[in-house]
Amino acid sequence: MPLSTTLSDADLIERSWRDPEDFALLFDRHAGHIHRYVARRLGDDAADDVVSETFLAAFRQRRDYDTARPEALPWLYGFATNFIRRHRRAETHRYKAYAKVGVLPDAGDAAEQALQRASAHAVRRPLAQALASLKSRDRDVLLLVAWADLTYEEVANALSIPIGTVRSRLNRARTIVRDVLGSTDPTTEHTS
Amino acid sequence: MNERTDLAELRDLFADQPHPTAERLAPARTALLAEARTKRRPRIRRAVLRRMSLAGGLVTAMAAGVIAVQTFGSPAPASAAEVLRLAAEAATATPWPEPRDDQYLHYERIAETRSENGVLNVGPRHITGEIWMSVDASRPGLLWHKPSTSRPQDPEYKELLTRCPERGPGRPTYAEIRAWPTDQEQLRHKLAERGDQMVPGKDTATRTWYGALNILGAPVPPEQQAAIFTIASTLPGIETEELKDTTGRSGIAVTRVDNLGPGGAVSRESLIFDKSSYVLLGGQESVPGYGRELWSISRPQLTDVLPAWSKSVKRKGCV
Repeated sequence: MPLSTTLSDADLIERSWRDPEDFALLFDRHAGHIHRYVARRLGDDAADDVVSETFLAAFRQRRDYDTARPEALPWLYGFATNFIRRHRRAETHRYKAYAKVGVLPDAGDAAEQALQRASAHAVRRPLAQALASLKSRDRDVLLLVAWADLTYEEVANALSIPIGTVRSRLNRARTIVRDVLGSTDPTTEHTS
Repeated sequence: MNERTDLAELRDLFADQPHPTAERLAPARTALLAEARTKRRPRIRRAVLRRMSLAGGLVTAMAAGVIAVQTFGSPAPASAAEVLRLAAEAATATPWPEPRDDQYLHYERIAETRSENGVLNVGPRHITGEIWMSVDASRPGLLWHKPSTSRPQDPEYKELLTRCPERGPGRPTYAEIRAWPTDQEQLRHKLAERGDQMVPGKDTATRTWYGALNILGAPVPPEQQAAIFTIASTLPGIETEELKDTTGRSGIAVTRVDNLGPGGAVSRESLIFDKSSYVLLGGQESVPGYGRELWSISRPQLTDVLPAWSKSVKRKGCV
């Protein structure tokens, strides 16, 4: 087991203050998670850019990291969220496209498109529509909870907002999502 | 639609998005490293730590405290080759229940970094931890770092350890090492192959030594441990010295010196054995003038399951 896995994120970041290249160990640990999260929102190509920007920004601000927090993923998701916002229009366009035809605009070959279409049952397409309709800051909170598996407290840390704000944004977003799902009969196929 | 369902449905949306390949992440990593290199200070012992990172599993025990390095006075108790021969005998003489593939090896590990006069301490300072390692890696392992008595303010750290095959070959599992040949030539080849991932392109003896250090950094089946000691005893450039820890326990070390420290500095890589039983205690990597890193593993035992509290630990990175 590499030494890099025996250190907390905070240890690694602290080490990178003096040994900048050690920040790459943090990349190795978390870039995959960040990339997959961003790719779910923006597609692979945009995720490549966002991940690169995220780690460069985090690296430049590594001295501001609060080393009392052993895990750095929420901190990294915070940077990623800021960069995702620059792609807001592309993100909503992507969800709308999926809601309409059951295929993401960046889906690869025909086989992948067919798979997506097959899985885009009655629930998923309206769900994508709901995501598109959310305010971006509400969507950020909702997806950090649902897709990045962050706790409310971690979301608050990631976005530098009070935990009460996390709750209110999440409630607002979930109300819209529930409305959409509530009006959908999952036993019937969506045919738009 | 109840409260659970809306989040559950959402979690399923685009959940088939795959984890990116290392190839896909490579440009971003390169960009990060390029930036990091522009910030690099005149290095202290970076190469050392990097090598230790790769040398890996090694990282373990040695109680907090100064390790005094000194060579034996005359008469020397044994040659380095003799120490390793005795260690090989000790490895197979110690009773050791053979674990099943579905069990865990549970052991304690302590690692400590110490810098020398005027050199910045780059951490990790002192790590005291417990490891649960799946014998065949078919299940996630568990890491638990506890605040050390010398740094009670440090946070506790727990992590589930998952192997990610796409990362390339990591340290072999216990089960894989158990299947390794004990035939000298074949095993020598295995060690050199492993060492090549840590000190690529170096001569065979150096690669073999680093491969041995890496493999010995976690519990190893007695037969293979003995065979590794026997191979190490034939390597050129090994010597003995005495290493003492603050518990007062004096160990006999086998050290190999090379110039793989930062900027070609002299680096001393040691395995430390109990002075009377010749059981492996741990090791030390020292770069005179810069610092040293100490490790050891202790109290290995077998268990069928992870502790119950591990259920609340998040699965994160890869090993």
